[in-house]
Amino acid sequence: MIAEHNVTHAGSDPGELEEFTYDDQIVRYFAYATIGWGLIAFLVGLLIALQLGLWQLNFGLPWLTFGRLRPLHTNAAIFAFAGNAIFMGVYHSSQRLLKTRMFSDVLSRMHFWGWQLIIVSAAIMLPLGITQSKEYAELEWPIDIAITVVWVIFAVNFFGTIWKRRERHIYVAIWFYIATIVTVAVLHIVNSIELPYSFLRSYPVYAGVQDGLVQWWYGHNAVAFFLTTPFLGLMYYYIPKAANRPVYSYRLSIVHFWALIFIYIWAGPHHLLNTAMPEWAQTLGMIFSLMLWAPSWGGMINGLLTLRGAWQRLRTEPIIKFLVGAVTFYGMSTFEGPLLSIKAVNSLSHYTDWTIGHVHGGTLGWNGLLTFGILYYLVPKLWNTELYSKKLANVHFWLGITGTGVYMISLWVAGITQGLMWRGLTAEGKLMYPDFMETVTRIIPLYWVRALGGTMFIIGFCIMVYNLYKTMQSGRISEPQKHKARRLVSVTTLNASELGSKHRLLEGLPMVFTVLSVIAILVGSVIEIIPALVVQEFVPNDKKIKPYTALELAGRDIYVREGCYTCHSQQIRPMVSETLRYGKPSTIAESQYDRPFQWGSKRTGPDLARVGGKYPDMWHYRHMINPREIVPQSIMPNYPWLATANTDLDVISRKLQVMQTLGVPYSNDEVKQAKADALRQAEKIAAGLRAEGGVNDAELEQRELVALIAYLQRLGKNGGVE
Amino acid sequence: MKAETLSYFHMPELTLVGLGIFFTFFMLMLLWVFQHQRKPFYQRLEQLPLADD
Ligand code: HEC
Repeated sequence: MIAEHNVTHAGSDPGELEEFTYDDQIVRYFAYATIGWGLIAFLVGLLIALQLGLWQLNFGLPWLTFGRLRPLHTNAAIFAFAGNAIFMGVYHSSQRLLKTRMFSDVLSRMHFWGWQLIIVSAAIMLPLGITQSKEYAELEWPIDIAITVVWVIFAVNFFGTIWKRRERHIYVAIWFYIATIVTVAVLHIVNSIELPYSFLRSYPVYAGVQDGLVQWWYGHNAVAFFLTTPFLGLMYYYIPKAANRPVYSYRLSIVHFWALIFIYIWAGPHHLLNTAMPEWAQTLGMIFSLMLWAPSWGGMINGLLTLRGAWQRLRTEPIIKFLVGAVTFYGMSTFEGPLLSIKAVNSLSHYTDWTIGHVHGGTLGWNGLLTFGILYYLVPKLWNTELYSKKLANVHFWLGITGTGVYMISLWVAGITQGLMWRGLTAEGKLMYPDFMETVTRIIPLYWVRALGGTMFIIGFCIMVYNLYKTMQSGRISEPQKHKARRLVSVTTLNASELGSKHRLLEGLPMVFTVLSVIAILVGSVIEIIPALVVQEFVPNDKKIKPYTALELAGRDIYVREGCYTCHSQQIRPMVSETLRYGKPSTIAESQYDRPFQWGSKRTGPDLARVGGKYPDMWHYRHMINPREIVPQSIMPNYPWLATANTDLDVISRKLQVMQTLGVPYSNDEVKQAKADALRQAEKIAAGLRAEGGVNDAELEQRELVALIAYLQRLGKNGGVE
Repeated sequence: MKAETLSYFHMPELTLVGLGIFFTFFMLMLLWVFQHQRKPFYQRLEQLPLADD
């Protein structure tokens, strides 16, 4: 059968009638990848969740420790699972909305295999500790380059498809895809500028607060433009498709689009507050940000009301259930997000597990359920059959939303408990829970509940895999169906009256549209990022603070490699309870040489910004090898290999040299003698450990643990000047 | 810390200009989208996903 599309519109589009097929094989590829990587991402997530309840679950292996697996989990969930899901949906829906095959089958395949290769190398490197330890941008420079290349391939393929389309008008889903492609490119490139010092390692060009601001700009917008806009595009295609009725309000979808681009990139309330802007403008900005709560909810309502008149299908159609569930979670997360950015709420929630719960509402609830809904829709279609079992899909749905709910609620409670215990003060103004461990043991039962929620979610997922497998088995991949549509005549040769109003002309022109949204994004980014980039001018470097010594730098790189930031912050906030617990608030100058910054975002363990000098070297030596020897209830992993592996001091000179290039005031002599200096400092520490603790190790000064101790003892000490 | 940093940022014009551009564009966009004569156009657009495939 040949499907005919715009044939009847011959009056307005007098192009030639053409026959074509869609490339569905690439969609199948991405579907397989989504399912496979999803399983891995979820299982690694479950493992690290369990590790917080039972620290032994890393089996004493470096590459299974929490600090190394957590980045693997987040990267796999975001870039492998959600990424492949996006590509699956984009390749499927764009071809249909644009009535053409993808621009190039070769580019499609390069995109697919390139992306999988990136994921595989990430899955190898992260457990090996090859990481920049910048949250959600952990991957090292060779992979960063590969990501850029593959993304450009995707962009060329996508814009090429738009260029050869047979449908003049661009449906709103495509807008969301365009915004995604452009913005992700900008975010990735700006945040990944780094200077390699060896084949697989590098230092970012930004340091300290600047690195932090750029990274937050990236992280915040990565959530917006990797986990939100593309999925909204998918929502605007697949909900109408599954419900077989048009979106509730097309106008609202346009407002939704522009409002999102604006909110995320420009009107972050925290961005307007605290600057030297006049009070009225700050207030206006804030009101605006709050107003922008509306478009997110507008988007949700738009998705939900698309089902108007078809609500009974919500009971019978699992696909609809998943899509509706997903959109509901979207509404919940986008409500909670702005709530968490209100200063008072944030002071309680920051660094706690509340944030983790929030994120999972978005990823499991919104990205996960939407992806599952699309898979349940696509697999039967692409394999020319019916879904094997609706019943199983229903079971999956209930397990999915219950699991997500259990997950969110347990961490909500855990986070608020943590937050309240950290800040709790007695009548005399002392800390109510001075022992940090107390605040950890209190919430461990909730970690088990969280793991239960995750397990339910994964069981549901496995049921889906089985269901889809049976569906594929019962179906077959047929010859691609032939379609017919008229070729578009170049706009310039069309006379304007045939096109209708000028406005239609504008909207029909993706070029103009792309340019407009690029401008919106770029201008917004510039305004948001300038404070970060010029901050150095405003915050003069404190010349008194000395750069790290060679050994401290080597130790810092070990801290970065082990991903200690996944449990420890290095950022004391100006709050009484924090000052009592950790010391005076962190200053900007203190992290001026930190590449990358390691402020962290979560305190499973205590803040380390001023841990230097708090304990003797021997304390750290024993604590790192086995924390429970000192803190019996600790859930921190053992790091015995640090006491047997040797610090790589051969690259230390090169490291200092790169730092010098980046503007750190090392003298040429310091660069040249870095290795000797490092050894001298290590010998001093080793001598102390031998004398004080009787450590019996002939090569002690070579050990990584000694370098790490040098770094830990430096934290908060500014190199001797206080 | 971020707050502290931003308080060093003495370019109120820039942030103000940003807010101004944002406000203007947002309002223009709303006016544009809700023009009455655009309705038929939207009605055609919203049918696009429903074509058979
Ligand atoms: C799974 C989370 C986790 C990871 C990963 C982790 N820690 Fe910890 N850390 C903790 C917890 C919990 C405590 C508090 C209990 C204790 O002292 O052992 C702690 C305590 C500490 C302390 C003592 C702080 C104080 O003020 O008493 C230091 C120092 C420390 N960790 C260093 C590190 C370093 C260095 C790494 C990376 C190599 C690391 N931690 C990785 C959870 C973690």
